Amino acid sequence: MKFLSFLTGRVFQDLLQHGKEIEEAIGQRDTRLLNYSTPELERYFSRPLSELPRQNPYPVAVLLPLFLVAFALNLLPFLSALQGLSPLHHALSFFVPSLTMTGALIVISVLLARGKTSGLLGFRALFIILLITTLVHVLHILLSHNGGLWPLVIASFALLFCRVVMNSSGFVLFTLYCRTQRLARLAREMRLKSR
Amino acid sequence: MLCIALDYRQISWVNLPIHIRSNVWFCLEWVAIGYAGTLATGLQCVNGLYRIYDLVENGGGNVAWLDTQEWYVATSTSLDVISLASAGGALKEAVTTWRAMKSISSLKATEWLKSYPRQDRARLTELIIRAQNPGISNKEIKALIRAGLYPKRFPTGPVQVELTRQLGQVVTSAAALAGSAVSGVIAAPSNLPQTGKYIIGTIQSLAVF
Repeated sequence: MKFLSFLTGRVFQDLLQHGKEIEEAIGQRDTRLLNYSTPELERYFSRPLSELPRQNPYPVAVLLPLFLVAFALNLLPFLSALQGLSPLHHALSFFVPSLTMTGALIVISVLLARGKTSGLLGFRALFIILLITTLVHVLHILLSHNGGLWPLVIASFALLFCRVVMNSSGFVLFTLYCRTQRLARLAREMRLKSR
Repeated sequence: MLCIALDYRQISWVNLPIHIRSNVWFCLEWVAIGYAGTLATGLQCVNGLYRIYDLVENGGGNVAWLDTQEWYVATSTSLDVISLASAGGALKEAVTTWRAMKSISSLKATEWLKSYPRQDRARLTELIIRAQNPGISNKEIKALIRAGLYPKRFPTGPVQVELTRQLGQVVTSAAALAGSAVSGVIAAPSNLPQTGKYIIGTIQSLAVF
């Protein structure tokens, strides 16, 4: 756990832990969920969306290109190491996984915006996978002296920025707002049912 | 907007009047354009990285081959058009806000984020009340404020947050336009009819198949 905190940042790990507790309370589907909410909070979030303050989603939006850069600059050196690929196969081997990655990032962002902890888990999984891949690539290039290091240096910086953004106050505020909104909606439904 | 005020969980879709339904579709279209814009911009980002890497590491062999392929030119032109449509939506919103702010503010636009005088805040409050209650008279606005339904002056905090958000949108939209002006549809508009022909040809061949 401490190692994960070191990799992804303590603030992000705390946010994830809090999310897991909320998910657990939601998953039990009983009145214990009401302990996390108050009628005032539920009334506040039951107002029309136009009356609620607009949130700043830029910290989440910034993560998309950063993860894409880290992913693309890991895939390209890998593909150039594969000999004998025709231009068509080379392009397809790059663009198909990139399209999948872009789709996955959009899905993760949507999950996060809906207040689900799976969004945070998705970002953490991507971050750790890309970090390990980058480290393995760097070690391979350093040992084999084959290929340029610049793509991996840029990928490392992109991942570093990802870590900074994932632990920034803007990201935490956006995640907490979306989570609280979901919690209040579910608690309101439960309160209305129990009456 | 009307659709934002709808609570989808409580109102049945079939019971909604037709004009509200069309409003909801309008909003869903904007959401779809937003998602398509994100996807298109993401793909343009990886496309750019692919081209740079190929030019630096392989002398541009794969890029030269790709540029001769109709499907590649058609796809990148379509991505650029989607990206521009998305940027256009954000810019339109920013221009509407700028016009509204300009009509009520005595300050220069560069000063909006720094300070906001009491008179401007009162005018902004009146503008918001008018936007939320179309056709309302001055007398009714005063009555609503006296009744405590609206504050006399809205606080500046949320206004400045919204202005900052829109400023960010303008910057990202400008980046999309600049990218297109360097190597996209704006730089080479002749690609548009070619892409149109290619897409129509593909649809026709699929229909025959």
